[in-house]
Amino acid sequence: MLLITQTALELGFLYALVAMALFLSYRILDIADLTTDGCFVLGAAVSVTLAGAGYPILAIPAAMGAGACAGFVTAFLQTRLGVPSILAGIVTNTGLYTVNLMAMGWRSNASLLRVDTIFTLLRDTGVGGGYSDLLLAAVVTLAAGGLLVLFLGTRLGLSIRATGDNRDMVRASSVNPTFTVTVGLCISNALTALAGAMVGQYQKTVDINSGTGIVVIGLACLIIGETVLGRRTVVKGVVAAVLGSILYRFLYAVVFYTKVVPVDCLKLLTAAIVGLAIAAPSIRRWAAFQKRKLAAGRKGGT
Amino acid sequence: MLDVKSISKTFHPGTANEKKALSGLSLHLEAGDFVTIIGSNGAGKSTLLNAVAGVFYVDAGSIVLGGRDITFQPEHRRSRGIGRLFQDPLRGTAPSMTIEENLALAYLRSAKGNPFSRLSKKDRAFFRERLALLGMGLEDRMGQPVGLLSGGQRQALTLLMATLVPPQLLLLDEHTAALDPAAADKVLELTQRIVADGHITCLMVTHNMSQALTVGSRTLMMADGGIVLDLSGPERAAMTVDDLLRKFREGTGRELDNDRMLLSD
Repeated sequence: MLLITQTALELGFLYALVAMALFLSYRILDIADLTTDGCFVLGAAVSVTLAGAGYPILAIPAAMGAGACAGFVTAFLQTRLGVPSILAGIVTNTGLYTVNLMAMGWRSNASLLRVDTIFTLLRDTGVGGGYSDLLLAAVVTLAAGGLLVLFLGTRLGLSIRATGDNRDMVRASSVNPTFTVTVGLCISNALTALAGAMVGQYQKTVDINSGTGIVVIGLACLIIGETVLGRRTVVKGVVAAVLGSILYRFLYAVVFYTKVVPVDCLKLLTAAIVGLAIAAPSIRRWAAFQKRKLAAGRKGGT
Repeated sequence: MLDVKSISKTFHPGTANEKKALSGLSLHLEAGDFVTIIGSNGAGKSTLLNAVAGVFYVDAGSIVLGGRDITFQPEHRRSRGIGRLFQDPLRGTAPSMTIEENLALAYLRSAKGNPFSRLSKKDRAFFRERLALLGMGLEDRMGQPVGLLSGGQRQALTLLMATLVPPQLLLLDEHTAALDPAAADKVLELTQRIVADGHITCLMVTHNMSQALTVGSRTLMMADGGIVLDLSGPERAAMTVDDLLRKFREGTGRELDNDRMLLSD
C-alpha cells in the first residue's frame, strides 16, 4: 500500500509538468497546443538516448531544448505562416514522430540497462533514502513550478499573460503578440519535454507511442486540480496542475488495483471527463434555457 | 508633429465589397493640438485613426510622426509613441489580470526596463499616485482583477494606461460613446485634464456635435474618406451646431447622416 502511494506520488509529480505546460498554453495563452503528445516522447527519447550514452544529467536540459524547438516550430507555423493553431500543433506532432524515431536511433523503443540515470545517481548518494526518487521528482517539479510563477510575474511574463486575455492590448503596450506566443509555446513545450525526460529516465524506457493521449491526461489533471482549488491566480493554477496530477495518479492506482473498471478503459474515461468538464458551461446554459422554456410553456397554459 | 500626406486605403479591392475608405487624405497636426473629428457613418473617421495607429498599411501616401516616417512601421512598434482608446471599454485592458499588472504592461512602453524585471515598490507607488488622480478609489483596489470594474472605470484606467508613458499622439475613437452619461462626462473631463497637463497631441473622434466644438482647439469634419471642413481659431469659436450642419450640407451636397449623432448634450 505504501509502495502504491509512493509510486502514485512520484508519477503525479513527474506528469504534473505536462499539466503545468498546458496551464501555460491552454489557460494562459488560450491555445490548444497539440504538439504536447509528440513533444513528451521527444523529451523522453532525447533523455533516454543521452542517458544511454552516459550523460544522464546533460540529457535533461538537452531534452528541454529539443522541446522548446518543437514549440518554436508550432509557434512559427501559427504566428508567421497563418496555419490555424490546432492544425499547427498537429502538423508539428506528425513531424515529430519521425524525429522521435531518429532520436531513438530509428527504433520504435529504447531501454536503459545497467546505466546511470539521474534517479540512480541520487540513490547512490544516499540522500532521501528509500524516498530518493520521490524527492527528485518533487524537487524538479516544484522548482519548475516556482520558476514558472516567478517568470509570469516579470514584464515579459505579464505580456504573455495578456496575450491570451487581450491581444489588442499587448500590441498597444508595444509588444508583438507573435513574440509572446512564441516565447510561451517554447516554454510550455520545454516543460512537456522535461516531463518526458524525467519519466523516460524514471521508467528506464521510452516507446514511440508513449505520448498518445498525454495532452488529454494533462488537461484532465489541470481540470481536476482547478475543480479542487478554483482558478483565479497564477499561483493557484500552478498548484492546481501539481495537485490535480497527483490526484489523477491516485485515481489511476485505485483503478489499477481494484479493477472497478478495466485499466484499458482509462483513456476513454479520461477523455470523457475532459470532454464533459470543458463542455460544462455549455451544458449549464442549455439546461438553464430548457428550464426557462419549460417554465414559459406552463405559464402559457397550453 | 503628425504629418499625414495624401493617404489612401481601399478595402477588399477588386470585389463586390470594394470600399474606398480613405482617398488622398492629408492632415497636419502641430504639437499640443487637440483635434476633434466628426462625420457621417462610413466617412473614414475610424479608418483614419487605424491608419495612423498601424492596424493596416495605407495603399498610398505617407505618415510621419515626430519627424520619423512610420508609414511601414508595424502597429506594435508605433504604439511606443501612440496611445489609443476605443469605444469598447473592454478593448484596452486585460480582464483577468489585476489593475497593477495592467498598469505594469502599459509601463512597458517606456524604453527602459528589462523584460525580466518585476513590479517594484517604486512602480507600485507611482501607479498608486496616478490612479488616485482618477478619483475613483482604484488606488485601493490595485490587486483586484480588472474584470471586476465597471465600463467607466475600465475606460478611465485605459486612459491612464495610454498616457502613463506620455505618448507623442493620443488617438480617441468615440471613447465615451459606450458609457452611461455620468461615466462619459467623467472620462471626458479626465481626458481633457490629462491631455492638458501632459501637453499631449490628440485626435478625438466624437459623435457629439457640441462636444466636437467645445472640446479641444480644432474640429475636422470628414466625408467620403476625406476632410471636408477644418475649423479652428475664432471661426470655430463662433460656430454653432446648426452652422456645422449647414456647412456639411454645403460641403457635400447632402445631410449629415450618423445614426448615433447627438445634436446637443
